[in-house]
Order: sequence, then C-alpha cells, then structure tokens
Amino acid sequence: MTWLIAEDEADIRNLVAMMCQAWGHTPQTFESGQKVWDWLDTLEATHQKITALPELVLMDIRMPGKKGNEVAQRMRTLPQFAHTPIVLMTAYSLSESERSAMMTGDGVDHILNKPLPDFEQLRTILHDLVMRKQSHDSTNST
Amino acid sequence: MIPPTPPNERELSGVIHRVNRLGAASERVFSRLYKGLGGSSGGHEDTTQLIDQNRQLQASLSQRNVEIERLNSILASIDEGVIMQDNEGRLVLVNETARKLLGSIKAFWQSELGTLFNDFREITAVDAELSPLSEPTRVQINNRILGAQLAAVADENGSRLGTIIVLRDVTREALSERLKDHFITAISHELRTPMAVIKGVSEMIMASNTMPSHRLLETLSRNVDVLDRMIVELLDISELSSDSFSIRHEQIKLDELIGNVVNGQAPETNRAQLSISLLIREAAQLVVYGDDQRLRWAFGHLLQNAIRYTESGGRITIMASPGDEENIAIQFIDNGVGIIERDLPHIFEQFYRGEARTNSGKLIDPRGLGQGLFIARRVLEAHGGYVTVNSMRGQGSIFTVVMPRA
Repeated sequence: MTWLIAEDEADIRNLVAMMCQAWGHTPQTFESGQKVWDWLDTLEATHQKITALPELVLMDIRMPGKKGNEVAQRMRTLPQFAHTPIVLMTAYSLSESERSAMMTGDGVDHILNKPLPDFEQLRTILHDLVMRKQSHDSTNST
Repeated sequence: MIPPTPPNERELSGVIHRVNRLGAASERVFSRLYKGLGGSSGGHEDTTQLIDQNRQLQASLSQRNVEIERLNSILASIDEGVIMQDNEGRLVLVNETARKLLGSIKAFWQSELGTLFNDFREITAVDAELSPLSEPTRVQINNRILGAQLAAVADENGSRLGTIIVLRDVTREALSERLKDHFITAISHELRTPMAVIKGVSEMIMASNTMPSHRLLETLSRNVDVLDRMIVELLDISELSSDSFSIRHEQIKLDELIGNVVNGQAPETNRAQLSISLLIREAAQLVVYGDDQRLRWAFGHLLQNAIRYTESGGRITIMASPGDEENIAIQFIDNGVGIIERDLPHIFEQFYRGEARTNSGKLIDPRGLGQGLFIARRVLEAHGGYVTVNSMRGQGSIFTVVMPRA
C-alpha cells in the first residue's frame, strides 16, 4: 500500500519513509506542501485514474508554500480523498481552537506531536486509524 | 468638611488672580477710609488690623502660587506621564510627558485608560493618601505600549479626592519580551527536529534484527552534530549577552581568516548554487588584533546570512581592503532577496528575526537559531569595530564591517 508523506525536513521525511517501508508500505514522498498541491492539480486536471492512491496521508503542518492543514482541506473536497485517513505532524504546540479547526474544519483525522511517538507506538496509532476508517466506511456503505 | 474638588491649573490661577485683585482693591478702599476717618482712634486700630490680615492673606496666596508652580514644573519635567482625574472623572491635570505619550487627549478617552476610572468609581474611602487601585496594566495607545498604574488620591482623613494615573512607555520592554518568546518557540522547534530524528532512527535500529544500514547511521551521526552545534551556539549567545564577555588579542591576518571562512562554507555555497568571489586588496595591510575563533565565527555568520538569503544562481562578493590609515573595511555583497524596510533597523538585535521573502513572494524559513547577525555585531563591537547594512527588498544587501588596524 502507498503512504503519502509530506515533510520539508529531509531527515524526518527519510526517517518516516524508512519506517513506512519497515512496516511494508510504499512511501510516496513530497518535500513541501506546495509539491502535494501541484500533484493534486495534475490529478484533477487529467482526471487521472491513479491505481495506487495513498492509503494514508501523513503531512507536516508547517511547510513552505502550503501548510499541511491547507492541503488536507483541499483533499477533502476531492472524491478520491473523501475517506483517506489524514494525519498531521507538528513540533509546535497548537491551541485548542487551532486543533479543533484542523480536526473539524479541515477534515484531519489525527494530529501527532513531534518528537514523534515510539516506532512501535506510531505503527499502532497509524494502523489503527487506517483500520478504523476502513470499517467505518464499510458500515457506511452497507 | 467635604474637601473641594481640586480645580485645574487655569481655574486656579484665574481664582488666585481675582483674589489678588480683590485684595489690592480692598486695600485701596481701606486706606482711603483710613485717611478719611483719620483721628478716630477705634477705627484706626480696626483698619490697621484689616490691612495686616490682608497682607497675610496675600503672602500666603503668593506662597501657595509658588508651591503650585513648583509642583507643576516637577510634574512637567518627570519622565512618567501623570494624569489626574477628579471624583467625576474630569481631567484635572495632564502633564507634558502624558500628553506626548498619548498623542492627544482624545486618545485617552478612546483607550482603555479612559474607562479605568469607571472601574473604581465606587471606592470613596481609602487607607492612605496615595493607594494603588489595581495591578499595573498595559495599554496600547498611539503606536506605543504604555504601562499604567492607577491610584486613588485622598486627603489626610482618607476621603478620596480623585484618581491619579501614572504612565510609562514600556514599548521596548514589551517588544523584547515578545522577541524572547518567539525565540524560545523557535529554539524548541529547532532542537526537537534533530531529536526526533535521533530518537526515530535509534528506535528503528533497535526494532530491526539486521545490522543497521550505513545510511541510518549516517543520519544518526549527522543529527547529533546538528544538535551539538546548536547547543554550542546557544552557549555562545548566552556568553555574548553576559557582561563578562571578553576576547583574546592576537595578531590576525584577515585575508587568511576570511579565506578559511569561505572555504569552510564552500559545500553550502555549492548546494545553494551560488557563485562566490573574494577580492582582497593590500593583503599585507589587513592585520587586526583580535580573537581568531570569534572573528571566524562573526564572518562565518555574515557569509551564511548572504548564502541563506540569496536565491540559486545568485552571486556573493566579499571585498576586503584597508579603508584608511586606521581602519579595515570588509564588505559582504549579495544580489539576494534584500531586507524589507520594517526589518532593517532591527536585524542586529538579539532574538530578532526578519521576515524575508523571495522575489516571487515565498517566505524564506531558514533553519537554525537566527542569531547570526546579533553574534556578528557583538563580536565586532568587542573588537572595537562595527557592522552596518545597506539593503532594499529585491535588490540584495551589502554588509560593511569596519575594524581598527593592528
């Protein structure tokens, strides 16, 4: 399965990509929010039927160009990403109102604080989220 | 007895003037009477007594006048703004400093200060002749941040005569506190990033059964270095800010030192795709007394600054020459994004970080603690030199260092 990873800090991006590989997924990495935005542009313009749409989206909040939550908000307007689990990461402490604006307004499923949780803990958090979203979707569709 | 409301300055002098006139007039009347009645002994004594009383009254009035003048000149000359209000909230006195701080009386009524009085209107009796009514507050007025302390003024019996507000300009303090907060937020982010990598990589190594790859170990060691550099820089900053900051005095050849700095940052210059040229004139003359390590550090920050704020394809030129008999001039010239007018006066201040944008409007978000220019300034000042900047948005920047020759 493909996991989308957007993070401007090269080391963190590589680290998360390596973890993702260790868990048996294929990382699709972007070095800025803008790059994801551009990718969404082509996706929309070409009505491309991408076979391997990401199963999970993991993005940093503060990135040059577009912020993670701005990208998340746009993704939620696209049918391809209506139910994709979206997780944001941040090294800054967010206020309760910023947090809830991202969770309800921008359609973010989970916000991780940096330093990221332990390798095993992170695996559990992300995989549980994927499972939860999938079961939720299947309940909705039946 | 209910104490009268303190009158304002103009009212008071008007009243005093009128009393004086009345005094003079009555003296004339009485002296005429005295002349006219001359001979009547009883009348004579009464009149003399009246004249004496009148003189005393005049003397005490002019004494009072002098006291008021003195008080006014004290109030006018002090650095704090002083505003007095009577029990109805009317402005009784606004000293010169208060007028300057507020900009206008209108600004007083439009700000929180205008309503402060109302908050404590009900308090009619107080313990002391001057008792603070609240914690000092901060108010934004006239593009300044003012510290305001409200106090009740009472007579010796404790009944309130009015309110006094003392104002102090705390704009600088407030700004430096804000800068410090920003700096701490930035630092925690900068420290957390390498920490996150070190933690994550080591956990991955522990979780896997195979030998860690070279790439993982390399990432690990690089981030330990980053963290180490930052901690060293933090220690340096705190040392620079302390009073005990001192430098060594050795003879240093600046052309060699600058050459080393440029070579040391060659990888970064290449990565940023910038061309760099070093122009040295009269190398033999470029000798200073100073601290080799600190100067390397100061020039390193100036170069790093040029690298960070110049877009790829740009050019950096460093020129060093004996400026005159006594000084050496070193210039760092780039054709980068430049510095906006708002940031220009502050870039050498501690904790300050400008908001630089590329020509296409993208915000440049440099990593690191952002204290390089402050460090450069402090180091150069410790060497008896200084650094200035000349820049315009989109037009590049020129940093000029002047140092005394050895």
